[in-house]
Amino acid sequence: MSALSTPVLGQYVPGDSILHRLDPRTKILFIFTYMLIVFLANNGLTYGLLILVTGIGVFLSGVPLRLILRGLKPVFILILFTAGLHVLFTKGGEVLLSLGPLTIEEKGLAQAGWISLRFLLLVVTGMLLTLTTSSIDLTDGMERLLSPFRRIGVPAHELALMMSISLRFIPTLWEETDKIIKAQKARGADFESGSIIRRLKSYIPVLIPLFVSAFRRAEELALAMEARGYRGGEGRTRLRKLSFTWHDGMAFILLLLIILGLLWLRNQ
Amino acid sequence: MGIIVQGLSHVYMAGTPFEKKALIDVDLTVEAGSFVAILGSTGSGKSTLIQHIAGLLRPTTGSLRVFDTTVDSNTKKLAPLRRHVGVAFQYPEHQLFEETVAKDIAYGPSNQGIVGEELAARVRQGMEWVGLTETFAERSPFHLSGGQMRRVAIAGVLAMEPEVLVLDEPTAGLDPKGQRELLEKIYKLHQERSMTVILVSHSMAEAARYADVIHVMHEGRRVLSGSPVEVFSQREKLVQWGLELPPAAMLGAFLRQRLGSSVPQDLLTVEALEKYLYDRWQGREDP
Amino acid sequence: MIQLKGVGFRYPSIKETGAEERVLSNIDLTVDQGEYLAVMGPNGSGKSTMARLFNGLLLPTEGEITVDGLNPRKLEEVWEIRRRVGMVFQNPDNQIVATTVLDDIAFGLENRGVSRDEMVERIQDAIARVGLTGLEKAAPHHLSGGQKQRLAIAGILAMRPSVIIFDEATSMLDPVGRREVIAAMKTLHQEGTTVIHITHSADEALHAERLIVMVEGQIQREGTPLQIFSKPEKLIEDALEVPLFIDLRERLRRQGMSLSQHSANSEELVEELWGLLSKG
Repeated sequence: MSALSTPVLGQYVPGDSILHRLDPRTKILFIFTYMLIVFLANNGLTYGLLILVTGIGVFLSGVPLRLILRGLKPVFILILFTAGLHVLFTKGGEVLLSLGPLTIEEKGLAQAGWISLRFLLLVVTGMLLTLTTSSIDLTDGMERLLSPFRRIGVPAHELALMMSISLRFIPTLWEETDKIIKAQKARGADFESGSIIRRLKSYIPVLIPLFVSAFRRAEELALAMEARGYRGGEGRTRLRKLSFTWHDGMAFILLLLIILGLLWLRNQ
Repeated sequence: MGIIVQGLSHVYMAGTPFEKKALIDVDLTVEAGSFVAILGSTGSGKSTLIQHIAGLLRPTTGSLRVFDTTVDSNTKKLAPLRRHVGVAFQYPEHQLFEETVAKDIAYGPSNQGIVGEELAARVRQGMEWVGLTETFAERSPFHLSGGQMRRVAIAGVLAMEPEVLVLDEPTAGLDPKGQRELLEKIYKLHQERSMTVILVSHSMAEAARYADVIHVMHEGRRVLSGSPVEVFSQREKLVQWGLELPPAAMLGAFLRQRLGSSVPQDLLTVEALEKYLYDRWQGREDP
Repeated sequence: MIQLKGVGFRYPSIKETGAEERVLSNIDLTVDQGEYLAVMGPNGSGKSTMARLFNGLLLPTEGEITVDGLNPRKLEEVWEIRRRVGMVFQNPDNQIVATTVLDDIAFGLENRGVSRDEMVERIQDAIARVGLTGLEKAAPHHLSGGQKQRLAIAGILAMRPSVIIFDEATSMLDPVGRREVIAAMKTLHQEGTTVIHITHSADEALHAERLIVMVEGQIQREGTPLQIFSKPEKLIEDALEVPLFIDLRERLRRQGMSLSQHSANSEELVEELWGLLSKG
């Protein structure tokens, strides 16, 4: 299997949808608030509203659904796992099935369903942010949202730069990992068979070269940055300027409506 | 025997906006015991091609046979291919990980199940082939020079005694002396052990000097194959594909322009040019 | 103008690991404004170390270096030196900081606090000069090697430098990428920028006005590329590759053919050979 053949979860898909055009600060605030209010949902109606809103979001993003589903593949395993735990260990209500010491009860099944749904909503919304926002906009938005907190010692610029460099090097290191895995496979490495311990050990020949390479890159990059006159956030100017448009205003109004709607539907 | 590639295509990330056809319907044969060069600019598909030969990628369509092992899109396990083929990717020193040179070289053969005295012999042999003296055995590979690290990595591949050795840009980043020494060693091994060598290179001069057969790749297709003389007589096409003539062939082309078509096409090295011009000067050349 | 007087350098940390100690010693060198200088030498001969002294990334442990009269030992002057002396590194990937072409070119300008309007203007200009128009929003990992190196050059050009150092900047590129970068170098030189090109390729070094050959941390030869390549000595042959036409010419001369050492390229050698051979 080639690492290149699986797109990274939520990798930016260039586009020109309304979601793409929103100010990154709006998107970050919207999505984080939305992720919090997902926990307000407590019944079919509220979950229905959230599914509807998320669905509209996916539609508006213009990102092909199958790409989102593919990206979700690894997440499904996690969802199944947590759902399984709930099914087995949450007790209450009618006993639906019993197998020796294990029983599956009504409340467990319901809980598993809600939790899975909530989890899925959180992941898809998070993905919407990264699918429609380039990494530079993302870090830029973060830096500006954090900058008021600089006074209390939050290193907004450094955090944003760190994030931006990490994002910049993800594809590079991803390819590098693929290359090292292949090189070691060509030397007869076997990553697929044996006990878990054995398999973990088999990754040592991948991890060591990867670390060595990451450090070498970091060193060279630091040198290049210094050569280009980098000396911290003091006195820096910015090429990018962010500006809110009426779209952003609409987004915040929408968010408010969703919150009110949820609060109202909760008690229905 | 040897390697037979038939109708090989490979698509990366099929069904996503990032879909990329890396290989399109490639047919290609590599005879056992030959020295083959694969040329092509970045993105021409040569790297994807050698990854198939090395048993690291599964064909999307088409098939390939390496000695007695055949692989196509339905093949479950590619590992059997890897028994025949050793591959040193670009900058192979970036895959070193052990504490000592000897341990690192032993990694491949020990994965093949070789142990004890035979393993030690393989390590010694590998080091000898690339010209590393015994004193290197217990040193850390991370404290060697770039050129030495490169040799350790290639020794690690050679110690597996592959029938086919694939080298992806083996001389990149080395200085001219390091480049010459490394390729001479590989060439000697090829001759003495009739090891099949597949050299992927950006250096036309290296291909001209060592290869029996050259395959040229462009945008995922094999666009030209033949002896160095045949391939390097296609100057316009090569330039169009982002390649160039080796310096000797370039000079040969100028000679033909000035001295006429009696100048043969096979002057692809400085030695060949020297001999031809000297003989001609002496008036001893064949008509 | 870069001036080195009796410059020496040793890496402090490497000594402890017991690895080879790389030293520069006793370097006297002046690089004039507008010059096209090539530097060759085997790996480990100190070429890159010397280049890093030129822009104050390293400070000499002996001797003195000045750049346009500025002293890299003074903290405020070293930043001005780095603006004036840009550097393109060997690995195209490890010098790109930002996630788009536009933002990466802006990086140096942002560091210097250039105003936004001026930034936009300078970036446009730099992009046009290296021929990356249309790729402003591209992500670095979607660029070819040659494009990445031209991006690095654009990032430097935007700083309005007087010197650009290419530290083996072509060694990881394919023939097309090499051609792109060499073409950019020639243009820069014609426009008056000082170009310092560290390379293993004799054919690339031929483009330069002056060549220095370094061996074991010292300048062993200095002259025009043609002068140096035409005097094949063991030392030079070991350390360098000689351009093919000179290699051939010297071989034929040793065989007794009366060829001059004036030919400056393959065509000129062929002209001379034609004269010699057609006489019969």
